[in-house]
Amino acid sequence: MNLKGTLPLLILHALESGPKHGYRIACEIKAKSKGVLDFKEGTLYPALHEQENKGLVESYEQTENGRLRRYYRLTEDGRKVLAKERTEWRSLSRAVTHVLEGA
Amino acid sequence: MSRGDDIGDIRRWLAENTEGLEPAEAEKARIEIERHIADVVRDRLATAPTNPAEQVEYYESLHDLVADLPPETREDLDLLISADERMAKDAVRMGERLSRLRSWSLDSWLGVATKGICQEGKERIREEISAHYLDALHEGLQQGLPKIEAHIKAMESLGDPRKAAKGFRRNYLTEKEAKWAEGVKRPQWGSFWGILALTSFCGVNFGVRAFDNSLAMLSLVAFAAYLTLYAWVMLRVVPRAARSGQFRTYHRLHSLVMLPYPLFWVLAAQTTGQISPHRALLANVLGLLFVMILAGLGDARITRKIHGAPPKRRP
Repeated sequence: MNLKGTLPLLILHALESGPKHGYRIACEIKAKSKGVLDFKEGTLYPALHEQENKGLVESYEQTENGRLRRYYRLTEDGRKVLAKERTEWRSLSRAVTHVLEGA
Repeated sequence: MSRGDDIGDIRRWLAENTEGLEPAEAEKARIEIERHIADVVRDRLATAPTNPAEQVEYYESLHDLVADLPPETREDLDLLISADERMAKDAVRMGERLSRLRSWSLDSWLGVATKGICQEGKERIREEISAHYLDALHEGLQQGLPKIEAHIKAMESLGDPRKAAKGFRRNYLTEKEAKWAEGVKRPQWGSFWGILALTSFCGVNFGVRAFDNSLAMLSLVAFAAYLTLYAWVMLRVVPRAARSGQFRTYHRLHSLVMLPYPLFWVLAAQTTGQISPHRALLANVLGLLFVMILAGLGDARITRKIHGAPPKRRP
């Protein structure tokens, strides 16, 4: 399924529960969406780096099982944006559902 | 009549040639027909289409061909057809996977996704994508997949490198931008001294010949403002890419066109005794402002790429 547009929100949401590396973020989104949302479009890392450039997430390196991994975590700005976008998404989702059910 | 290869032909041939025969003769003919059908099936299996879209219909027609045969013969041929069908499908699937495999090894994926990106960006992307690939590969192996399958699955999880490349280029300096950014970290003293020498030369000429000419004085003030603006842009030491390399590039062109003008004023003054460089100076200052605006647009983009991210901190 095309994730364009919703991917930043999904990334911020996945990081809300704690720092994660890219692969874990991808797995979590895929698992929680029951496999509907995956990243075959090749957009996860560019989107992650864009969020970092905007200051919504920050990254750091950490060794895991003897391998250096880059972890991402939410910044304060990221939390604010997540809260705002989540509210907007719910509102939009309800509106679209009303329209579709009304039709 | 020939028995032919089509099921209709075979059935017609059987009906026409066994009618009125003794049971023993009819049985003999039936056995011959079965053998003939088996030969036809084997011949057709040998020439099965390689196009997956045609294969479904093709194998169905073969199953139809043997549908009316006695069970013991039909079952053997059905098994033969099904086995061949499976092999054909596996071959197609394996061909597709091998094709994907040839296209996207990890190195080739990274090569496409990071094409044009500066070295620093390439290294970070390589490090992160390699870690992702290894995680996906290990997970596949833990699920019991053969290594080749696990590799293919891991590569698929990375997505399309061409789309990733577009995204990365929005977030990282290209090699050219990095070169610009690197080149403007230091003050550009060489250009500054050149302009200062030229201005001094002009100034001395103005001073000697036309200090009573108010227009010339005004022009001299304008040129001093131009020089100050130029010095501010080119000589201040600023963070990386806060002053774009584009400015330097554009300004060289601008200087090439505009800077000879003061020399023309001096030459004109020496030959005619009249000094009126105000128009040339105005064009020069406006030209510089135009260059600064153009460079500023590019500068904002490059600076955002470099300084947009907050400082990296360890947890």
